[in-house]
Amino acid sequence: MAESFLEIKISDVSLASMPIDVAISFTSLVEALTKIANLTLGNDNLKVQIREGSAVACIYGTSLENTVAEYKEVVENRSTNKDLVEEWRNIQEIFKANGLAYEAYYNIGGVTTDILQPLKAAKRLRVRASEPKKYHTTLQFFSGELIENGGKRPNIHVDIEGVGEKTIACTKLSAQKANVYLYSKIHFSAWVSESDDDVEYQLCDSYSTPEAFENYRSFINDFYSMPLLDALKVLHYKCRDYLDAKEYKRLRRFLRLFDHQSVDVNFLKTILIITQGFKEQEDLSGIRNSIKEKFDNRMKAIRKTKSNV
Amino acid sequence: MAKSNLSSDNLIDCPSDQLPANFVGAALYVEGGNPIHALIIIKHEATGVFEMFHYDGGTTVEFIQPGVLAPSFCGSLLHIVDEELIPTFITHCRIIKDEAKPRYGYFYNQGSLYDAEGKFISPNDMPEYMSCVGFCINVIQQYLSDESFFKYSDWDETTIGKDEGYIEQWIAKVKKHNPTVDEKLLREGLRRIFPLEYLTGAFSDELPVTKVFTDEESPKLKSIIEQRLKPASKVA
Repeated sequence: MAESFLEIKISDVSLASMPIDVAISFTSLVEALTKIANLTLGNDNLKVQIREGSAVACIYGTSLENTVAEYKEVVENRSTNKDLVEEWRNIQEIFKANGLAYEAYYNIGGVTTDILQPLKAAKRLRVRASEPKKYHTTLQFFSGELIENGGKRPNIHVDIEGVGEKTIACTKLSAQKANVYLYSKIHFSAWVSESDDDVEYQLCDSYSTPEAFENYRSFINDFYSMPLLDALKVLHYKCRDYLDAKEYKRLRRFLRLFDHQSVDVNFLKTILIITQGFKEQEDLSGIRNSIKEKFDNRMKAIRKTKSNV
Repeated sequence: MAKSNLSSDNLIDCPSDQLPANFVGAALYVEGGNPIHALIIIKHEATGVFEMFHYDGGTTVEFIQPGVLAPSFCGSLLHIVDEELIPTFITHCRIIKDEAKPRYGYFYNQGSLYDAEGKFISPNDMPEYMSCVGFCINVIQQYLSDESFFKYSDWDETTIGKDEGYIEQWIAKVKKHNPTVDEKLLREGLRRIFPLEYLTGAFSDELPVTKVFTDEESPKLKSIIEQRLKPASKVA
């Protein structure tokens, strides 16, 4: 027997003559161990063995240390390998389910470590949820030719000046409205979300004139260059100006620039506070509710994170 | 009675290293061993803000540096103002500073507050009279949409601790500046929540803060403050 091995033994049975229920368990164990060996990193030298002396299923070889390392991740629910977790779970379920007398352990460097009790004691093995990708999102302004429109998920394809062809996710309504502009130059703003290996674009708004485009673009550039407290005051008074002038449609247009889950909660809160008295106003209620939903979700997530600390 | 979070650990000297990086608190200035003035303390690391916000009892609403009125002590109000939203709170205070025009009086009308515009809003259009504590309450109340900071009905005219002549004189002064004010409603708003009670209220784990709570806990708070002020307790 090689120095490093992992084996599972069903005691008091003979390979030459097994009751059916024992045979079912044993073949399942052999199948699971075989698949685990196959999934082990660098598994060229691993071998599977079945032998007498009770009914023993075994894998052995110098790569067994990898098998054991991966087993430890699985039993601690740290593994993200769905297939591997499934096979160890199958073994776990066999150990927990029936009344056969099992022994299960691995031996590395002459040191034996039990795996039966840890597997029986653990909750149902599961794959660790992978970390969500971290995105950094900014609001950016672009001009370019609309070259394609539509798809299963609504989007527009734009050949952005200085950037190239990009797919911009949007709503169905926006995609429908965009039809008129196919093969024309458009000006628009988009939420650009960048992770380590990915960039995603989501349409914020489109502008019918270069002047309107430039007004919003320069406002946002100046806004996000300011210290946070100055920006909050600017936002407050900008909204106030629209409300005092009863320019509710224009305020709705302006608030689109903040209607995204990446926007600082302080900006969202400031908007909600200043528009509190207008929550039923027909031109503002929709976007206000949209912003409120994002604010509530963000604060819920923040409070949940704090309560888990 | 509400559970109390009052302890020596939770009463923070201001300024001091014990203050967290991001903090909003009820603050109390003690002079000659007497708790005499109420403020709001604000600290926010990312924006570099570390200030106390108050109404001086005259005509001034201002931000001052922590340490200007010393010794002062504070208790957390982060159960009312979310830590994440401290920048919004700071902005609101700055707007209030530009707009508020309080005048002094032992008066707080239930439902009054400084709104998002920094404007004083009061049911029945009561005029903008308040004490230093009333000012702090009017600022903080904007952040309590469905509940009151204090159970104001627990405090009435008798809590002012001044004679009837004082009160009549004050009412006459208010009516002179506000001829249309309803005197009956004005009288109903007469109350005095003391600065010590205001800071005590920060340690209640329920809102509104009741007078039963402040009556029970204020002496304990005073005792902790007295211990802190003793010369022996200042030895490192």
